[in-house]
Amino acid sequence: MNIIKPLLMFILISLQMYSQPSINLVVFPELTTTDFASFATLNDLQGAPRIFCAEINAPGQMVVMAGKVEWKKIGSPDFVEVAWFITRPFLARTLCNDDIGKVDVRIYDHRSNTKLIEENLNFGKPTGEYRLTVMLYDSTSQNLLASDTKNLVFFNPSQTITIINPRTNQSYDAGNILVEWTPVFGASEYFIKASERTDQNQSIEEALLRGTPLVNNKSTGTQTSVNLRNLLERELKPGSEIVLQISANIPGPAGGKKIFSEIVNFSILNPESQYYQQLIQRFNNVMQRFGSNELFQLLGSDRFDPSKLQIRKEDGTIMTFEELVNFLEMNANNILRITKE
Amino acid sequence: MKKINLIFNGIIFLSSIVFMAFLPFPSNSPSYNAAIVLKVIQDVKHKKPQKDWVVTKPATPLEAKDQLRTGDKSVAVIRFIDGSSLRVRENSVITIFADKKDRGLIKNTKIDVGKMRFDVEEQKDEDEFIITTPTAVATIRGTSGLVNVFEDGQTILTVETGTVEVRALFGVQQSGTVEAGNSSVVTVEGTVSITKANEQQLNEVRNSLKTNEKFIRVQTPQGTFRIYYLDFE
Repeated sequence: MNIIKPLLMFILISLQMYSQPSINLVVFPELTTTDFASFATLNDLQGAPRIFCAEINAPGQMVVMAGKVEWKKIGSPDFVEVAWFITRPFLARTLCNDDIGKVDVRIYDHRSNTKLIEENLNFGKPTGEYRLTVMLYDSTSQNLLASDTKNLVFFNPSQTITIINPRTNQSYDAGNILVEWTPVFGASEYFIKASERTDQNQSIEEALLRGTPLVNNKSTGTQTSVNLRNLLERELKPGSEIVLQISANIPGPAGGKKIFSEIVNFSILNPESQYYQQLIQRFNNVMQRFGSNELFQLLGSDRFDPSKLQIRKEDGTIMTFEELVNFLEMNANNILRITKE
Repeated sequence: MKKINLIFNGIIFLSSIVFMAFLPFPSNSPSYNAAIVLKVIQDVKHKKPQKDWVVTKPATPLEAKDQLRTGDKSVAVIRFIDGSSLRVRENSVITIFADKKDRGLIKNTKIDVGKMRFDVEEQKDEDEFIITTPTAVATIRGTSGLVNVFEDGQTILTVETGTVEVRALFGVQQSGTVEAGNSSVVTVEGTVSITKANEQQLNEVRNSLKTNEKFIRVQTPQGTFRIYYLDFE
């Protein structure tokens, strides 16, 4: 009698365990954001770092696990499926993402939204909210035994390359175009591509892709600023419109990933143009309002050449000569003094 | 005759002593720190009564009757103990008066000429914040705006927030209430006209907040220059 009671209890517990399989999703929060972005595509679960584990409690049972990654972009109301997979039956055990695809846990089917994956990767790191769902089925994959979901919110803005200079719709002197962009975490190399936009009906994307490039994906190494002149394959035409894009190579599994900046378009000042001459005249006029100073004296001499100026605000922001003239005209009453360093 | 003169002189002397005995003591009340100079841009000087002008540095305390003046392209920011502040713009001369009464603090700033932005904290019941110009007196309570005093004494007061009571000091001595977005002109004849502030006046009030010195660096083959300018804080 003494033996029967514990035996009954054991059987009951065993039955309960057998009858109530469970799956518990553990997501490693300390994973690096870049890792998660690459994982989110489910391109290479084995190659991806360990990002989640599913604690499956169904001892001795053959089970099937399905997984789904959904993404809610910042500002978007709904989740959209980025990728989905389902395994072949395997003997229940706790497994992690890097186990999937190994001998005993084979992927049976999968689908993915390539457009979303590309968009996701272009951000370079997770942005918005990700929902990771795992579902545990019996071996027929028809009966859902248990499921679990975890949400990961990434409030930090996406890792994108932002071109600081040149700025869209600004005019620059051909000899003085400093290209500057924000660094990307983990980037091993940056590339610049620039082309001339010869037709206004052409989109800036088309202009960048077609025609003979002025700079054809030249590497800048890990430098995030470079003088465009040093990379040019042919001379810039005064008055022309240029389109430019930066890309970054982020090493990782399967050759790494590339992320791209937005394309900026800007124009090249023509020193012969009436506009350019007027600009110099406007600069001359506004400088007269600030009294005698060395910069004004320099302006009056033959040595003054606006194309040789490097103009920056206190915070490091680059200003074009045109922007400086506009600023001085707008803020003439607020100019305190001009000094030489 | 000598004796008469002696007696006369004695009477005068004694009378003087008696008269002096009934006079109040010379006014030697302790000086009162009314405000402090928070920021100085370019040429700002201050002086005590009967003293010479001295260069003003940040954190200079200003006592009652102290004067402060700003030069060309210069600004001083002054803060009173109640948190109210004045931004004295270029080519202005002001005098600070402050008097601590039993129940409150009277702060009176006289501006002889120039422009001054005021950001006055809500005044307690017995407190007062007054701006006096050669032609007008303005009582301010929890208000911001700009007062502009011309060489001839004409005063233009533009109110950004709150309300200001304005009264002309001379002539017909008109008065009125200037509300936010309005501007008043007080003439030397004592007339007060209140109208909606024009865009230029409103811009001037906004720009009067620019008391932050910044610069643009212009690098040329002949050297690097700095163009200093005033920006918002």
